[in-house]
Amino acid sequence: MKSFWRLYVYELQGLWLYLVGGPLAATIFVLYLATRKDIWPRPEIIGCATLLLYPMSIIALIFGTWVIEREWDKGTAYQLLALPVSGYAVIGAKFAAVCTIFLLPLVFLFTGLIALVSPSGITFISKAPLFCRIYHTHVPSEAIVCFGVIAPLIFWSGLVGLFLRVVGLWLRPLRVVTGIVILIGYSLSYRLFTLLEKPMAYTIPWPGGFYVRGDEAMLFYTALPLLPVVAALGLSILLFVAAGWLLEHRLEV
Amino acid sequence: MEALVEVKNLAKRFGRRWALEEVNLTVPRGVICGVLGVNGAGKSTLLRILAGVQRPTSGEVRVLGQRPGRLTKARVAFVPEIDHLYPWMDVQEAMDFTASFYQDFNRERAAKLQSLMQLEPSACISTLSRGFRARLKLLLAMSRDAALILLDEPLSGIDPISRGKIGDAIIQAYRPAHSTILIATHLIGEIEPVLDRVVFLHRGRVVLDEEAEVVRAARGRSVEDLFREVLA
Repeated sequence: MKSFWRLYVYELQGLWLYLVGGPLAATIFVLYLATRKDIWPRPEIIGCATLLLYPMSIIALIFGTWVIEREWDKGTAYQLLALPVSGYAVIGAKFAAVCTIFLLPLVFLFTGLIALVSPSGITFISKAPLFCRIYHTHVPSEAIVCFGVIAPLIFWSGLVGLFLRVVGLWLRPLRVVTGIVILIGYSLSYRLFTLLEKPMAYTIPWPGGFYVRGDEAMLFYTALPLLPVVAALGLSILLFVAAGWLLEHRLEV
Repeated sequence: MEALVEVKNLAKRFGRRWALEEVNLTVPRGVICGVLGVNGAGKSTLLRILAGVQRPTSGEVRVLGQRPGRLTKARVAFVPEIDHLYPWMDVQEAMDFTASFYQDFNRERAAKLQSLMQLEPSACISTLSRGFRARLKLLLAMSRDAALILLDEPLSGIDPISRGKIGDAIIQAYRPAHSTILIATHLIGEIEPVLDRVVFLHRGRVVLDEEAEVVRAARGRSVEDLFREVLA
C-alpha cells in the first residue's frame, strides 16, 4: 500500500500540468456557458456540457494508454521496472492518477453547470449528508448522469487504455494478432450481453438522487440493473489483475 | 566464495536475432567485474536480464540465489546506458524517490557523493548536461548498500572530467566485503585499473572469463591489449 501511495503521488507530480489544466479548462468552459445563460435555453446549456462530457471517456482511453506508453518512450520504464514493487501497485497508481485527473474537471464542470441551470443555484442543507449538500438542486438527474454514468465510464475507459497498452507492449511482435483478438473479444462481449438480456432484468434499489422537502433531506431510490454492474465490476477487476500481473511478470524494456 | 550471480545456458532472442547464446557465468561477491565487448555483443542485454527488466528466452539466471524479481530488485542497483530518470524531477527529488523505494539508500553517502560530483540539489534533471546526468545516475546507484551494482556503459559519451568524477565515485563508494559491481563497457582503458575480473562477450557468447590479474601477470599484457587480440 505504501508503494502504491508513493507511486500515485509521483505519478501526479509528473502529470501536474493535466492536474491543473483540467479543472482550469472546465472552469473556463463553465464561464463561457455563463455568458450564454440568458441567451440559450436550459436544455441547450446542459446539452452543450454533455457534449463535452461524453468525449472525455475517449480521451480517458487515450490518456490511459499514454501514461504507460510515455514510460517506454522516455526510457523511464528502466526505472519503473527495476523498482521492487508489485505490478498491481504500479497499475493501481497509474489508474488512480488517471481517475483523479478526470474526476477533478468533472466535479468542476458539473458543479458549475448546476450553479448555472438550477433556478436557485447551489444551496447548502445542513441536514443532508455531507457529499450531497453541494448537489442539492432542482436537477438531481444530472447528478445521477454525471457520477452514476459518466464518471464510471471515464474510469472504465482509463482502465481499458492501461490494459490495452500493457498487452500491446507484451505482444509487441504480434501487434496485428493482438488487434484482431481484441476486435473479436469486443464483438463477443456484445453477444454475451445479448445472452444475459433476461437475467439483466433483475434490479436492485440504488440511491438515485436527493429530495428536499422543507427542512428535511431524503434520498430517493432508482432501480439499478444488477447484472451489467456486476459484470462491469468483475471485468474491471479482471483487467486490473491481468495488467498488473503482465507488468510485473512479462513486460520488458 | 559465495556466488552472487549464476547464469546457466542463458539465451535471449529479439525477433530472429539472438542477443545472447549459451552464456554461462558465475560472479562471486566482492569483485568488480568488467563485461567487455564491442557494440552489439550482448553486454547490455545481460545486465538488463540480471536487473530483471528483461527476461531470458531460455536458460537459468540466479541473482543472490533467486530468479530476478521483486526480491532481487530490492538489492540490485541498475544504471542503464540511456537516461532513465524522470526529467521533471530535480536532483534532490530523484534522491528522495530512490530513497523512498530502496531501504538500503544511504543518505550520508549520497550527500558525500553529491558534493564530489558537484551536483546542485535544486537542478532539474531535464536541464542537466549528459555528463551531469551520468553523474547523477551513478550517485543514485552508488549511494545504495546494494549487493549487486550493474553499470551499463557508465562512461560512454561522457567528457573526461565527468569520467574522472565517475571513476572516483565508483572507487570511493565500493565496499568489497558487501557488494559486487558489474560494469559493461567497451571503453576498457578508462576502467581497467579497477577491474578484478573480466568477461569478454562476442556475438552473444562468452569468449573469455578470467581474473584481471591473471591476464596482466600470466599473459603479460593489459586487458585492453588482450581485448583487441581476442575480438579482432
